[in-house]
Amino acid sequence: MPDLIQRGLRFVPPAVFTAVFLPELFLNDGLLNLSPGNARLISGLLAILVAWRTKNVTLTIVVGMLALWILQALIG
Amino acid sequence: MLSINADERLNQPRDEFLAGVKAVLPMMIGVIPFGMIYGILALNAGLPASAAQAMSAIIFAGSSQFVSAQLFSLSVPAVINVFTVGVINLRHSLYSASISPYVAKLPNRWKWTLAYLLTDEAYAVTILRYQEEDDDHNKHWFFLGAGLTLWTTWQLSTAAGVFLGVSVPASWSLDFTLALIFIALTVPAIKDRASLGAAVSAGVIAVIAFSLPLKLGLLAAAFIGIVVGLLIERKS
Repeated sequence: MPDLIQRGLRFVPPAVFTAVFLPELFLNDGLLNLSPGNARLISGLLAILVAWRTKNVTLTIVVGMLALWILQALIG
Repeated sequence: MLSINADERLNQPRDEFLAGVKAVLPMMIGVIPFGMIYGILALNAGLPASAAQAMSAIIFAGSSQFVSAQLFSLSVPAVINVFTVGVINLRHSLYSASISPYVAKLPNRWKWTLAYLLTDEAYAVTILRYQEEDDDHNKHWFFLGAGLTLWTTWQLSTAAGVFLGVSVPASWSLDFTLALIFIALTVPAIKDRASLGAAVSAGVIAVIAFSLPLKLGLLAAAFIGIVVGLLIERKS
């Protein structure tokens, strides 16, 4: 395998995973939504913080879902 | 003497297998409802129950199965349906290329099995295990444990949707758990400035290019992310 490709493959996980989840946070029905009323964006940012500080998958999911439910209850 | 025994125990296939199972267990909270929703959706699309379940075993990829069932309901020609599923899953060829150096020396029966079991989640936990700096030769058992756990859960949860009609209300927003799983998987993959740059640039492109058909925006984002990562790495 050429050296450049081999070094490039190191970036597959961060690039692909971010490309999968980021639209789920920023887009609502395909439209950019940067308002604080975007519950998925706020919950997702909180989950990123939890994932970064704890590196704990379960805690990230639990905090993210709780945040989403609370925000949806407040907004809806 | 004791430490040698401990090292040997660490390298047992069984321990690696169980570690792989354990690594994906938290993700089941997202995989199970996703599978159930697929089951219901496939039946509503007009697929016979047997075909809906067979799709889980043959394709074994959540978003592709959703799209394939929808195309079936629209009576889209089979060739186009199969082609679409292939393109949507192109990111798996990136996963496969990235993991290939680690499995190159395995016998073919292992390679075929692991290739079949390769999913986003299995790849994410396994590549982290392979990147750990220890000379454990049984890491493919970790891959197998993670892959089989996801496979079994996917088959059972889609069967619950297909045959029992079990689902969860959309108002629970459990689809969001999939995004949360990816968040949890991304953070350990960001190890330096170059990988952070790859992640941020890929994420921005994915948002901008989201409306492209066949998830091609995702693929474009991945390639641009990789290039940005390489450029940052070269500078420093």
